[in-house]
Amino acid sequence: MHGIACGLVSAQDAMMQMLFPRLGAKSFIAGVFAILAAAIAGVGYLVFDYQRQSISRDAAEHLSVVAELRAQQVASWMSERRANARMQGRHSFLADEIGRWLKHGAVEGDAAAAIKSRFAAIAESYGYRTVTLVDAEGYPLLSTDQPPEINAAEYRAAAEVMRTGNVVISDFHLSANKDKREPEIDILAPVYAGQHDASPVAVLVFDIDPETSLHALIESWPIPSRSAETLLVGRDENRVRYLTDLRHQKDAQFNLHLPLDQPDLVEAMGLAGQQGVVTGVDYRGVKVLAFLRPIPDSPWFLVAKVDSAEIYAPLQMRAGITALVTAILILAAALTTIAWARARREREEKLQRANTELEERVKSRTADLEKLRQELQALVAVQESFQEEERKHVARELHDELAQKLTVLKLQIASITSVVTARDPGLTRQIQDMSSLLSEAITAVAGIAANLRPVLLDPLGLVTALHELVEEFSERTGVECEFSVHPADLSVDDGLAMPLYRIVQESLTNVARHAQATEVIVSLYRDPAGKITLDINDNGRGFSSVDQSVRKSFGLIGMRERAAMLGGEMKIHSQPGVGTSIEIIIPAG
Amino acid sequence: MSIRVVLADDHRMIIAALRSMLEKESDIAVVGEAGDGAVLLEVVARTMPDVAVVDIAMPGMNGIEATRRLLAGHPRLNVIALSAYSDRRFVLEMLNAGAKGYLVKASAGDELARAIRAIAQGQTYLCPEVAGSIVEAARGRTAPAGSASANLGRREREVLALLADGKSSSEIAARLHIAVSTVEVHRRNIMRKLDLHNVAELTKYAIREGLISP
Repeated sequence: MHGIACGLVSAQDAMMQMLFPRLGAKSFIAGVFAILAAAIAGVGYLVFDYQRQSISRDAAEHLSVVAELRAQQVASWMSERRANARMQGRHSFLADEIGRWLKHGAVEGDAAAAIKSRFAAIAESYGYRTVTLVDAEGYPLLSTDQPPEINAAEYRAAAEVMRTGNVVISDFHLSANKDKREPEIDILAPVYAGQHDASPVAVLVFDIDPETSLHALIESWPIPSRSAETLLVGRDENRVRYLTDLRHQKDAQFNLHLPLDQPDLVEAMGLAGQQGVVTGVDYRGVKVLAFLRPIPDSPWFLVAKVDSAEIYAPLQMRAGITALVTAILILAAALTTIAWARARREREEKLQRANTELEERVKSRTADLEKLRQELQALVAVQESFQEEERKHVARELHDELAQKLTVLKLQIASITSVVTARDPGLTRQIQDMSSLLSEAITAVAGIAANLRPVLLDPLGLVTALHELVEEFSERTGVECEFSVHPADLSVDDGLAMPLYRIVQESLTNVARHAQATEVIVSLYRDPAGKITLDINDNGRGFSSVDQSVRKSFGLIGMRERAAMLGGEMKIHSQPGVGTSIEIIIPAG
Repeated sequence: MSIRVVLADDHRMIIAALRSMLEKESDIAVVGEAGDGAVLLEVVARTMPDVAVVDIAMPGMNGIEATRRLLAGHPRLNVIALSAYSDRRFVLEMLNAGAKGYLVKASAGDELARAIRAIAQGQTYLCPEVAGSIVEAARGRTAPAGSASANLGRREREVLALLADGKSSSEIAARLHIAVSTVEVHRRNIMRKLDLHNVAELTKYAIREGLISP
């Protein structure tokens, strides 16, 4: 992870530079982490949601299959029963017998008993609870039940049969039996005396115990389930009537009524006309997923439902796993972020340390350099003074040893000239040549010595020497050069005289070479406190202060060192087109 | 009667050579020798010569200083300067100190006797090499170095007069055909030399010195 983090630090810098130059590093990292965590959470949620919907779909499909199956079964049961009842009413021995009996007055007797025993046989074989014969006016005549009774609903239904000639299946109702009010369904079929008669003569009422016939059909669930059930519901005025026994509430059948206007009750939804997959609550108030299907040709509705909790139960585990995985990923992201932030901080600290170290080193190096420079300066100063001493020594040697001897030689030649020429006139020329040669030699030596040390300086002092230097310069170059000194009897120490002379000498050389000046003033001034100021001003070309090559080539750097060596400082002012001034200040003492 | 001469030079060889030259002259007698200024004073006091031939470059007290002292003590003494160099400054210094003659050592062979005779008679003798410098100095081209306390150069005097007259630096520059910066430097130097601090003081000085009329 550390490796990733380090890689991230580099990537981060590149990214940050590109995208968010101003953003602080911390907020950037936090931002990235937030985005990452959000993304992971988002993906986790999407996975969860997908799974939930997938489960939902599967459950819904399952429910729809079951509902479809059951509805079909109910419908086919109903049509089978209808067919059977119709057959009993028209195409059967029973119908013939009933027709005959009715024709013969419908009295008690063997015929009636025979019909009743046929009723019993039918009831038994087809699972009817009771079979009752009702006449055209709706009056019950014969029944497996004694006495024959019909209730109001059966009465109405019988009238409808008589009128329409159709088989009618009544809605669920409680039986007419006052002792045992049980739910039942009636099938009423018209009885025709003859097979080809147009209108019925009586109505057969078959009572069905839905418990034995219908419930078995729908109450079982094809695959084991904790909470799934199918139920049949019907409308009872403004209430939901539960027509089948409820799995989770015994004896609810017919006894449980729930208002139709409860909007999230799935059973009510069905009776309101909704079909297909719905979610809501059931009679227990428990959240369910339901499939609603009307039973065709009947006022009934099939509800196949399963508790939401049951179908989503596996989802919980999956959700848990997804959440766990998401949490782990976020944690990993967090750890990476922390490692990243830490790596970043380490890097910054390292950078900071390196910086500080670098600064320290630079500082110490600069201090070293400064020390070296000062040492160098001192060295140069010492070297300079040694050099001047050397030159002074050599000049003196040249003068004392060489020049004087040559002079003596010339004098001696002069002294013997007259004697020799008197004795041998032919030697006159030779002696003259010797003398001339010696003169040249003496002049040459004097010149060399003068270059090493100005002749006037030691005997006559700095002021006189400078006067002469300035005048020579003027005469040589044609530049008007003046020397202004105050006080007039100014004298300086030996150690000062030569360097100051050299400075003026060099400055004048520079002026002659570069400045193209017409006026130069050399000023030497000692103030009452003893501070000495030497300045050389010219009205020449000048140079701009950035012109470093000028400084170097004019030996200005050396001059500055010389001034420093004397314990003073040098200032240069130059204005292009106006002139240059070089100022040397030597403090007193 | 011979001219009595004292020779002063810090090189024995030179003295020996000069002496041997002068010994041939019948009217010149070398009566003393010195190797530096102090000894020279003492020898002159002792021997009372007519002429002293003094080398400029002597250790301790140099020839110029020695000449001044000699002449202060012995006004009737005639001094000939002797030098390896012909630099005009040397010449002027010696002449200012009171020497009546100047010889370059290398040419002394021919001229020394002649110079001594001339000097003894009160004339001035300058060898040809140095004569030219003196002519130039006489023409005023060479400014004498350090004598009066308020020693203004020629230009400085000109600038002072114009300043006291109330002229501005640019006017002065135009008048004298020099740069304004040069005028400024002159002004500064003048103020320094005269210890003046403003134009009023400057004007007073100029009036006092007669550079301008009040």
